[in-house]
Amino acid sequence: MKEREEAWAEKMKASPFGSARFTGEMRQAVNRKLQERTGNGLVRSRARRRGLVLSALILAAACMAGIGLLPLGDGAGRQAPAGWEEQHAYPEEGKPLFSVYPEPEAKAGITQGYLFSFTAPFHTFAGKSLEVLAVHGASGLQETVLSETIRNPDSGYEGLQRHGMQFTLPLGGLWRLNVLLDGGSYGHVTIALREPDWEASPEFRSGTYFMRGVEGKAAFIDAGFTAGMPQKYMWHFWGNEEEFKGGFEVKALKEGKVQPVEVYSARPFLSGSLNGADRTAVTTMSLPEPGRWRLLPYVGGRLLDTIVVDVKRPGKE
Amino acid sequence: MSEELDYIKHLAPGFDRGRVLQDLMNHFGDDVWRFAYFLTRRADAADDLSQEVFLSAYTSLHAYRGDGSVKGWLLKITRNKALHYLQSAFVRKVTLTDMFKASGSAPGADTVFFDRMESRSLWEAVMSLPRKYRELLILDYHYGLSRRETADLLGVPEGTVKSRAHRARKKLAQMLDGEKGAVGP
Repeated sequence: MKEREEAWAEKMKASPFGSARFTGEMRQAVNRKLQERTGNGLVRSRARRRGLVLSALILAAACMAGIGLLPLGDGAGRQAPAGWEEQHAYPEEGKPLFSVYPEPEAKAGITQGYLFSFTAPFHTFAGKSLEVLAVHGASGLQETVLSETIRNPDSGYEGLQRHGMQFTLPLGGLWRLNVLLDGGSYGHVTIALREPDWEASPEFRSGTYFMRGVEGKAAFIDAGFTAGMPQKYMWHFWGNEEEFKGGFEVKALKEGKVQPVEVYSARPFLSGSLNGADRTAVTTMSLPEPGRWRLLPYVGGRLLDTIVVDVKRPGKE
Repeated sequence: MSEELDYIKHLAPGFDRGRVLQDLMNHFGDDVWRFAYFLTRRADAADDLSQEVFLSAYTSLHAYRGDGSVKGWLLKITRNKALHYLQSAFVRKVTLTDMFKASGSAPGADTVFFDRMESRSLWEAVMSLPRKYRELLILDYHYGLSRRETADLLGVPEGTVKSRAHRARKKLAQMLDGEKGAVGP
């Protein structure tokens, strides 16, 4: 019986049909129906939506500046929203619902450890998804820094009293960490990060190549950057299979700016191991302006780490 | 098997639903179509249902909490739609009996037949099982879902999946043996 079942499973693994049945026309029909339903183009680009939000923000800021609420000048874009201050505990009815303990002197631009301590009993979280969504005060930039399903209590505790996480945030200043439980808001805390270092990231040797980036995490073979000139770069990643799921994206922040630009995005992205790394990806990247830039590599929507590079002016060696 | 597209579990708010939808259709379009077909036994129904599945997946993407696999989630939507279709008055009146039993007869114009010789008789036997058994075997052997995922998808306890699967396999074995005439009372 057992052998027979295995034979069935083997035979039934493949489709009984020789060709694809969900056709291109059906795909297009779905898109068409969606367009009819929403009354606009289906594939609204993320950039356009972000552009809208941005222009709304600028407009709001302009109005506020006009009536003297915001100081004008360089600092204008760097103010955190009113009422934001560092707040490491989230209280409910006078008692903390949870608190965060960031690594001392936590800094932007590098991976830092954060300890969350939840007071509610474990069954509040069991089997639910826990997400942490970080929002930067001055720029409104959002990062999903944690997304997991809670299966077990923290080791040595009855609940989530010692829930450690590690993540990287790209900008200094105030960040609000919104905790979502099964998609619903659970509370928030606000942390202050020191400004990141802007020294060019070091190169290190892996296999037969020199790479720029963070050893054991993400790095690329630096072919040099010239403003506005696309160039091929081979990215390397270290880690386990779980960490490589999802698309690969690179954004970049110019020194002194708070809005990142999109540099590269693809999915599925990763090819096999090479040059001592677990995974690699060949990309074409180009940065628009000369100066110092911070590259932000994202895998599956999460920022891995940051890498600082120098971008030359075109026509100059 | 298709790639799992697990990044969908980690989408940040404001993600591009349109792009995600294209990915879902590219990766799971055929899986969904086939499941709709396996359940309804009708190609035209599968054509319509599979499109509906992706339309609802698009609208409920934000509600997908990443508890199970993306494939399991889509198959669950497919099953709900297929069952709804099967229960609708129209189908109940125009019952399609024995489309698969008559193995010798020529297929009708809109009858899909399995064009892979090596597995055809097995698939035909599976398709002639009652839906309750058919879907279990298909989720296990064809889609490779775990017992827990199957239980979740069907909305029954794992124990039920186990016992029902046992009966399903027994029925399938009887059917195949009967056909070959190898064993028989």
